[in-house]
Amino acid sequence: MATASGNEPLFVERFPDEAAVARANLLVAFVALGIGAFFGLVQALHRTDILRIIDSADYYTLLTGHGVLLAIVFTIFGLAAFFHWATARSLDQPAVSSLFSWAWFGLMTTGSVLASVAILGGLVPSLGISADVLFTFYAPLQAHPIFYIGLAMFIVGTWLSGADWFLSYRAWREDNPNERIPLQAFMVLTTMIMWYIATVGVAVSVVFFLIPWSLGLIESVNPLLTRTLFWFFGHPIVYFWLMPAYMMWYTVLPKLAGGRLFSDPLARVVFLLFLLLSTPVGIHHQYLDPGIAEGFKFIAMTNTMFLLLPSLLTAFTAVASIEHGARQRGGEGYLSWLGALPWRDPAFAGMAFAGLIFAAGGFSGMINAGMNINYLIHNSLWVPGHFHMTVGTAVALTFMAAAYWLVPQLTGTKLYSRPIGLLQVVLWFVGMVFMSNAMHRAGLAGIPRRTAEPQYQNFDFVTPIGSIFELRVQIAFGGLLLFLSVVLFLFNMLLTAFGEKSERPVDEYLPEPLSGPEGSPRVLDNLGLWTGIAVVLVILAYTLPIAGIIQNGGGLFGGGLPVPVTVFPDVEIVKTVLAGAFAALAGVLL
Amino acid sequence: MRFTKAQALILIAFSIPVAIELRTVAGFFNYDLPLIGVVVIEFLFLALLFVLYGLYGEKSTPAAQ
Amino acid sequence: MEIHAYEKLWLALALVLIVGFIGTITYGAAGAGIEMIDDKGGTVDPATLDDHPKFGDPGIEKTGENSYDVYLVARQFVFEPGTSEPLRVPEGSTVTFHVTAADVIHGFDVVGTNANTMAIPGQVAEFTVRFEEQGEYGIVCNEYCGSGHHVMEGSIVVMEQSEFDSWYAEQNQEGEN
Repeated sequence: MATASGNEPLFVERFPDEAAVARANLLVAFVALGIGAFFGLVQALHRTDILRIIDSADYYTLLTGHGVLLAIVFTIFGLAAFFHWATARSLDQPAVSSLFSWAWFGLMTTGSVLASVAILGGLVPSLGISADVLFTFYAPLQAHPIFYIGLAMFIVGTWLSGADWFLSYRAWREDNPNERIPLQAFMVLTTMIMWYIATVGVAVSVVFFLIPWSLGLIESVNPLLTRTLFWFFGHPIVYFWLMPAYMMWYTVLPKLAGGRLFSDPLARVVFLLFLLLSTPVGIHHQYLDPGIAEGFKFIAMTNTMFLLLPSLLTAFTAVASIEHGARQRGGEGYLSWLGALPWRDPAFAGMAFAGLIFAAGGFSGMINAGMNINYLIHNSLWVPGHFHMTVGTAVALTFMAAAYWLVPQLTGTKLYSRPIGLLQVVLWFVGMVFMSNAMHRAGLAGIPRRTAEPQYQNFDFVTPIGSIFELRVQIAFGGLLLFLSVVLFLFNMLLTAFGEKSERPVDEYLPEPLSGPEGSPRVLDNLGLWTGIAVVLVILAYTLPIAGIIQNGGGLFGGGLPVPVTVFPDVEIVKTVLAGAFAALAGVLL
Repeated sequence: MRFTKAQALILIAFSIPVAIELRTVAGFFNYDLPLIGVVVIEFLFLALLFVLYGLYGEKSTPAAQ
Repeated sequence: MEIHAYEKLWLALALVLIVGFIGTITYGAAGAGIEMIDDKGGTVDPATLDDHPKFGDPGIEKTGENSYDVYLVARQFVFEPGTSEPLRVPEGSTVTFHVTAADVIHGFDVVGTNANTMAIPGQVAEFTVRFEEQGEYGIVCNEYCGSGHHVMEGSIVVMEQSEFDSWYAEQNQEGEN
């Protein structure tokens, strides 16, 4: 069936402008990946006391750089590249204006450069510019204004990129009034709607509070308010990282495995569930924050638990599609079909590893989500252990694996080396197993995250199995393997980009799903309806906590006199839990 | 079905998390497995894999199969 | 819309898992009475913390037969009390902590336990801990708070009751002089 593609010209030939924009986005993403990974290596060796080339005070500058460059720049430029490709491919038409595409790319890049300058300025004290505030930039820790301004420009750039894809969709809709939205375009659009809702929080925080405050226009900020607004955006950003990876797992992985996607409608349901439930959960990062009533935390937890559902459904679909592919390739038996999979292909092997690690990361995430056990691991090294499995592998490794398949379509050149690619994804898997396993254990022993020193004066950490020293070595060794893996990846990409042109560098045909969208209710494609429900859920989950924080915590800008107002959430809990459950169930049953 | 180099590499990769968690598993049975024990077990596994690859691997002669 | 039988089963199991998680935690909160950090600690003005009747002179005070209140301030890069001198509590006591921050957001974590909270300027975290046995515990700041974050630590010493009582009496005497 994969041969049905035969005569179709390459993506880069059909859509040269879109391929160029996607390449530019990937270039920025990979530069950020290289720098961020290097910082990561320095940190892994520093905090384990294996090798120290910086001062402990500078550790936090590198940590800020590592977080921002990898979790924001690498992931979101990667997303922009994939989505730009997917929109043009699935709607089978170019963007409305390539000038507009370059405009949002330029704005996002300028913003990233400004923020990076502010961060790296921290290494050169004489500059007087620094932003040692980490990826979460909790006020009252203050960064130089250009950090916040760069961030705001970057966010506006992402908004415009979404507008670009919506304009493409509108143009397509005019020509195809009765068609179902093609699956990849559907994924792009729902993800961007989620992003528009989610970024309201960070935009308000940065534009109304942090920029005026860093410029000295206002005296102070309300730390709990800006923190809550950060997490309003800070959790859905997790799904913004994940959705392009999910898009690859749904639409590309089954093909790489030798088969096709199981069900188009269920893929739509999964993306709609993420649209509905991604934002009203941010308070689960604040289980330990004073000033937020327990009821609100409970609402966030309930929504979070229901958010497991789309990921569990994805796990099913991914495994089922892979198995289907293996059987198409002649695989048999209960387990021996695994041997029939194309393990030689780094794009397939990388995504399979990413999915496997994501399963482990999902389980540690369930621990994080539990309101009461969270107390044991909150802000311990467990947490970075968790998100290096999720964003650091499920997303990053999927992006790298997808690049092995996608970049040749964007450049028209053959992948430089498949064996090196395979070695690279294996190194990432092994390195991440070493590092995140040790981080989880260290977290259980009470070792905090985000600290430059391995040991304290007043007490020792103890671990039930092995020793703390072994865990440190494991973290450093894992970090080293991960860095080597990034180096191999970047060289492979560089040599691919400058390689010889090829007629058919890769088989880019994507087969239709086993069950297509025809049988599914049309309401799934009613984006306006789902946006409305998502907004209502966000209003239910956030209005009262934010009102409470402003009233109890001394007003919008902090520092004022406290006004004792108690908000009783009891009735609202019931309503929101019911609404969340209903929405989840409705999505599933339709 | 022939045993490919890629499959061998994948099996080695999958053996790492199992090896790392061996001590936890032993801990459930109240057995304190030393680090060197884990190293030996992993080494034995790799040796077995090499032998199997030699016998059934893609470069082996048909006679050996 | 067609859903495969196995997928329906999987979906049902996933829902059972989710409802089960929520159920155990609801039971933990409502049935077993596991206390969580919330808004009951109230608020405080960080700008005038030094004049506050309690946080102006943080430390431990006796409130009942076997119960105590601890007022604790986290600031770059010390816990008061905790860092320059340990926080002393008697064994077998029930201690209600009131933790706030003077400058930026800090963390307060008794190492290896689930006594763990954020310390946010303007907010007071209130939670209760029982100290059963004598011994020494570490306190660590687990939220990045600036370039000296890694030196921000302290300790809690759980003392024998009579030893604690004489120390406590001495303290109060000094306070009056």
